[in-house]
Amino acid sequence: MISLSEKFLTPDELGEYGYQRIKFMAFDAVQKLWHRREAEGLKQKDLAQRIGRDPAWVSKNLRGPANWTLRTLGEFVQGLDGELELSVHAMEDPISPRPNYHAYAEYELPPFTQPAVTLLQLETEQQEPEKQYRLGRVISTAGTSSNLLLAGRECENATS
Amino acid sequence: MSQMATRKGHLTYMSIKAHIAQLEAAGKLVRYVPHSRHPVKRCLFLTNDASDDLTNPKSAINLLHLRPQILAAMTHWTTGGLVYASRGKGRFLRRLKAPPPEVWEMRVTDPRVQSRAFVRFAEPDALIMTRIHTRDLLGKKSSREWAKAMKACCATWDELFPNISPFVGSTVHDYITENCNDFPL
Repeated sequence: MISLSEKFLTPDELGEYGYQRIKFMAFDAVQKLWHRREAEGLKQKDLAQRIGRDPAWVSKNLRGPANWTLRTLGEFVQGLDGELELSVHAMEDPISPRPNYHAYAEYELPPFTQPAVTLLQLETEQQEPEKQYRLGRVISTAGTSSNLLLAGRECENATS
Repeated sequence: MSQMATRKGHLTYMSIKAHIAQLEAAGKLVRYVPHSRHPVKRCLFLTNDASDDLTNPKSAINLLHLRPQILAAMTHWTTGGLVYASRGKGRFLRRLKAPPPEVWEMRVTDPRVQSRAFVRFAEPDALIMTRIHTRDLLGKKSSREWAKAMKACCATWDELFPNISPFVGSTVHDYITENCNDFPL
């Protein structure tokens, strides 16, 4: 299965990508504590007062991570009476507990047994019978060559 | 959501998941899989045009060096990051004002030359990204360029998903099931 990931970035871009990722993660972490403190009655102006900042600065930085720095993170953690825990893991280190699900799992094509032909493909087959074999190949790239031939024959039979 | 199909007089139903899987197999969609230890929590599929916006050295996105920020946002989405929103302008995802309906923007607001990825929900927590635009190109919200871009998003969707509407929900939590601020659509 072909997929896209950040691995195609150039070295310069990868550094910038890392910085942007950290900002998102820092923002997420602070937002969780902020929402908890807000539910406990803390207001943005109280938070601003605690860390000697203008309320507008607090408001802007709680809206999104675009302008965040390490200082921003540190100030919010202190202002929210929190404690930061940081750890950096190697990519090859396992996660505990080991997950057995990922969101793309349900988007895999089933084993190639009965090719699913959509209405659009059938309509096209009826209009362009000479392309039936090619359509058979397009249905799935997961099948063996014999399965692809089978798909081609079944496409031919669909309009006969 | 299913698509009715006929084959030799028999009715078969294809879920949108299966349809997406077929589109991937046909090379019309590509999934985004971040390099992470953690499993993917939300799906993001890119059309060929959106992939080209990222990978073509001559695209505006590349020429303006916007890829890292856009990919960071894509990773944020797929790893289940907070879909934040506030009363002000700060939003990670926003549903654009219809018409046309159900066109969303993923807002990449850093650096100064911002970008907007146009997406539609195939299902809860599953986005189809049709194009990525620089904010400057789009201009004011009511501009012709915005309308053109939204229309193009729908046209791409219709080409890939004929007779299948994008997912429609009542609240933001219908679209994004976890780790999402409560905000009006």
